[in-house]
Amino acid sequence: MVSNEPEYMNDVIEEREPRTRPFEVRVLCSVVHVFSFVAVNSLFLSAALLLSCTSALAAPDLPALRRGVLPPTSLSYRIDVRLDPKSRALEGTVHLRWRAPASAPAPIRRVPLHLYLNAFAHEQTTWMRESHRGFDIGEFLGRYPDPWGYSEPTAVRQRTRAGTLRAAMTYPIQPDDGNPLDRTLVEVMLVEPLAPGATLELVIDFKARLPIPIARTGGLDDYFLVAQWFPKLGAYDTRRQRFVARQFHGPTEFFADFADYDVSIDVPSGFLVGATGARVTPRKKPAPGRRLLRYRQRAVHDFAWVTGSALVAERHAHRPAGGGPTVNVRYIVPRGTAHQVTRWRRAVEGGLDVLSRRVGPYPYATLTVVAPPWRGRNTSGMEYPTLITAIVGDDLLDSFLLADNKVPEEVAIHELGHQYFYGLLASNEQVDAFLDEGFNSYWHVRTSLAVFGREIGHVLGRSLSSLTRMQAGLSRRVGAIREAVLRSPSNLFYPGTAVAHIYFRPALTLRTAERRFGRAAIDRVFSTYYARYAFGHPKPEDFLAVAREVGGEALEAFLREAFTRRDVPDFRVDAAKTARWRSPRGRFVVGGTTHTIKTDDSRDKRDTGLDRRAREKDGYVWVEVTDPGAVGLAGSVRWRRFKPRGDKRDSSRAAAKRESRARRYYESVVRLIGPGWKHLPVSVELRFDDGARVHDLWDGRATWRAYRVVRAARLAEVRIDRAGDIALDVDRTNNGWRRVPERGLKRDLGLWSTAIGQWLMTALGAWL
Amino acid sequence: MSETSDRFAPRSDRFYRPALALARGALVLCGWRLLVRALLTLPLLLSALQVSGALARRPYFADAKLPLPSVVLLHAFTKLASLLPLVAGLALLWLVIEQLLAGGALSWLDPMRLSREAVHHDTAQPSASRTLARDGLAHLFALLRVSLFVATLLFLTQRGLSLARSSIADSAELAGASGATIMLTLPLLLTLAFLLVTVVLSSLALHTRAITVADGRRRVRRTALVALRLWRRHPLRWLVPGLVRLLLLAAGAALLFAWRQSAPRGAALAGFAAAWLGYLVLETYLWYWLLRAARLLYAGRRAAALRDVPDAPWGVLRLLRYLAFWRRRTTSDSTATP
Repeated sequence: MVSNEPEYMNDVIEEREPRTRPFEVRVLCSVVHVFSFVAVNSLFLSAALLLSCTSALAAPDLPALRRGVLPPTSLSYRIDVRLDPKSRALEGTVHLRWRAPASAPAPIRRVPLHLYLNAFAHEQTTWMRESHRGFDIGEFLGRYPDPWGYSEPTAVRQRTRAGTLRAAMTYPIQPDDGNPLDRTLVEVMLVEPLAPGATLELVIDFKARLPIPIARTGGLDDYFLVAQWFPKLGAYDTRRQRFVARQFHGPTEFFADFADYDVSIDVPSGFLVGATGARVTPRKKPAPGRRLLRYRQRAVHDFAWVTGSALVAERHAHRPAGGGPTVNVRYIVPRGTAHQVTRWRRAVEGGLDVLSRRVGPYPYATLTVVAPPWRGRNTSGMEYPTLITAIVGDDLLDSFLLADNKVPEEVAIHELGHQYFYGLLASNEQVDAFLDEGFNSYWHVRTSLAVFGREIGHVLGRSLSSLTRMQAGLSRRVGAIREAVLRSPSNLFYPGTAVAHIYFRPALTLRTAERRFGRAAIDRVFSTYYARYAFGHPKPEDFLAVAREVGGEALEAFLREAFTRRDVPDFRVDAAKTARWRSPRGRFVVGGTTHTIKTDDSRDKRDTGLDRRAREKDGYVWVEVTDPGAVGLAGSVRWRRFKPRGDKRDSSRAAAKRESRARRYYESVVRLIGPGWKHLPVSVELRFDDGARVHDLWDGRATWRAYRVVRAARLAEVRIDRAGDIALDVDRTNNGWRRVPERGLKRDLGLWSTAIGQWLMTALGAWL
Repeated sequence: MSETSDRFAPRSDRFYRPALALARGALVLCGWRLLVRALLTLPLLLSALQVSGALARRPYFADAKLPLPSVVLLHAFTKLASLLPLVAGLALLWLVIEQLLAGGALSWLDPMRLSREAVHHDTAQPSASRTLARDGLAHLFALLRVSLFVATLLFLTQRGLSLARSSIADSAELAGASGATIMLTLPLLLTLAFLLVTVVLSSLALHTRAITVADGRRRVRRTALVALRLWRRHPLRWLVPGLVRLLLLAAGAALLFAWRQSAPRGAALAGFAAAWLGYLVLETYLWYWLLRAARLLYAGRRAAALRDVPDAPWGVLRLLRYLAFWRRRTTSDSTATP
């Protein structure tokens, strides 16, 4: 049954049940899978798999994927569409066949259809209201008075058991926000209820109009990126036995079931076409002055295409280094920018090599890479199954700003990575967007580094890596972050923080995990996650279960904490000082002798009362460590000894000589502040003037920690996380302290800032 | 308005070359300007060293590889931005002091007086310092109004160019222009146009000041018109101050950019600091040169007719009042008539 209640309101947010099935069903599934392993590609096997109760598709067969063998689906689309570039109109028919799961608890009476283009119909759609793109609608309307797009089914007919087509009613629904003006989701009242295991066949005639590109889809005159253009069946969640279709929201994207697509596209002559899948022979001849092309692709959850009269294409085959079929990559770029294809090739082919090795095989035989022209730039940086849009194809990329900069290539790598997380794993983008965007952001950084090394991220000779950009992006928004990553739906993050929660936090969390637990562990987690859940619409708990199983409890505990906490960690040096140690004024007893010290002169000349540990006769540095503890963890003040590193004094004679020479001791006190996470330890280093370094591992559970040291050398420096392992630390500028400022930097920046001020004065005087 | 004496009037049509020579009192004028500037910069220097010292205590900045990575540099700029209010305040104060110095210097650099002194060796006249202070104060308010006038024109120019940019960008977008055209070429052309306007306005400001001081005028808008008429008489020479100042600013920006890119230490840093000091000295000398040349230009033969233009208002307000009164009169006449 399709529920009209917002899907997220029925979710149990705090804990998600892992996938479980009744014992008998699991046994049956295991038997079926054994047969499937033996008799690959047989029709019987496909039927058996389909009859078994699984999620949308059977668990992936990795060896088969490496050979390009795709799993069967229960949904298929056959679409005929015609584009009129002048009016931006689309007209077409969708033949949809869907087999309901046999495990459905009751006959299905209503099915949802997505009409995503209606998000661009007017200013008050849900998407328009929620979109925080810095998009000035006023300016846009000034340039394009009629940019709107829409999608309307003109006739929906259901094939009955008798074989006839009967008209079915449709009506718009707004289960997420009740916005009566939003028509991105409609429900079809079936004329005949659909029994479990039965096949639904709908014939939908539709009319649509592509918007002038506002975001993701649209076109004008001679360029069209046609995405989210046809009435699409909402996804059915077999775990919860319900449709989980949502309206189209600003911060999030799309979700649908895997299907087989067979699409015929009718465009004017002279228009080049690129699309999801491979081109096959059309079923009929085109009309005069028109072109008719047909594309087919199995086991994808969307179909997008691009067309234009000023585009050129280049085809290159590439066999990914990590296995998988040879991929025919087609690069579609604006005329005059074909020389930029080499840039895209390096990114895409390198990306395929890295991802196929580290994550899993790319199982499709085709990939289309589109570089939109400048006026289509709002369709750039997007991903669709086997079709991605890179950054624009324009002379701008040849300018001094971008010619040697690899940011355009990084965008292509990012969109390619989506083929895995969005395209193959296909988690629900609207509910758990971070499983795609966040994970992909982590992988795009790794992939870019692997492909380009140090070449990436330079601006005017200064490095600017994706990682540091993400950290800077997160720190800018830290004041507004007050929600957990693992919170759904993803369109309801605090305004302005969706990018931080969905992209940056998960990516930096994974980077931190990589530094802490090792790259090999993370690779194992992702390759297992992919192998187990490709085509499976995984949820966060599925990923965490794999992390625990393959990476260990500590890894899973860290990831879970990072995804469920509402704050981002910030370690910082709160206070640090070092001063000459002096005998305490007053009366005290040492070694049975009473001492009274009244004046400062007396204090200077003596080290009476000095703790014997400060003399370090045993060669260790003694540190008083104050840890206040946390809930369930008692605090303490303990003396700990550390073997100093980087100190050449090993002999006691040298120590004695030094001590008699110095007769000066210093008391150094350091206080650190931390986020108080349970699973985020951090390294702390204290360095002294005599070269001694003390390394401590703070478990990070308390919200602060203090160190006190008395020894014959002043504290020179305090460092938290010197190696930069905690990528998630939102402000790295406060992770250290030096007693003596770096003179060169101080003078350089100080004098330069003054010169800037003087230059501004000169400018003011010159112009006014 | 002061009387002119043909006997001491400049006879040559050269203005910029003779102005290169240091007249009597030039070093005093330049010295005062440099000294005031140094004193004004001192609080900024101390504050900047304090802020940069705090930065230099953080290993994030101190241990970063040179040149500082982009994000590290951006963080440094964020911290240094705390100096902006001080810079803004000092810049405004400098603007006021600059007018005082300019007024006094323009008065001192009267070509008639300089010629007369050269002939008569009359040293009983007030000193350059005294003239700087006395005449600078006398003309200060008028010169500040010149600044306000030019600032208004600059603002209107910026608004106009901004609207033009939107309109041109829209047309370019609709015509299918490339990203390079819209994002690089167009802004570059508009920036050049803006700089061209600043050259004109900068020259206008200087010549208006020179005429204000030369004739003791007080009507800024009228004086600006006189300056514009002077432009007609010397179409290219009139623009020299604006061009020189633009080049000077560009040179300073280039020096600062090179300084930042090279991240100098030790002797290299001392070199950049010395180069910057040299820049400030050059800038002061050019200030003197342009003021003197402006006085010579206005004292030249071609400007003779302009010196007789009265220092009268445009009469805009009077015209508006007349129109308002005329309208009221015609209305009352028509109601009075039976």
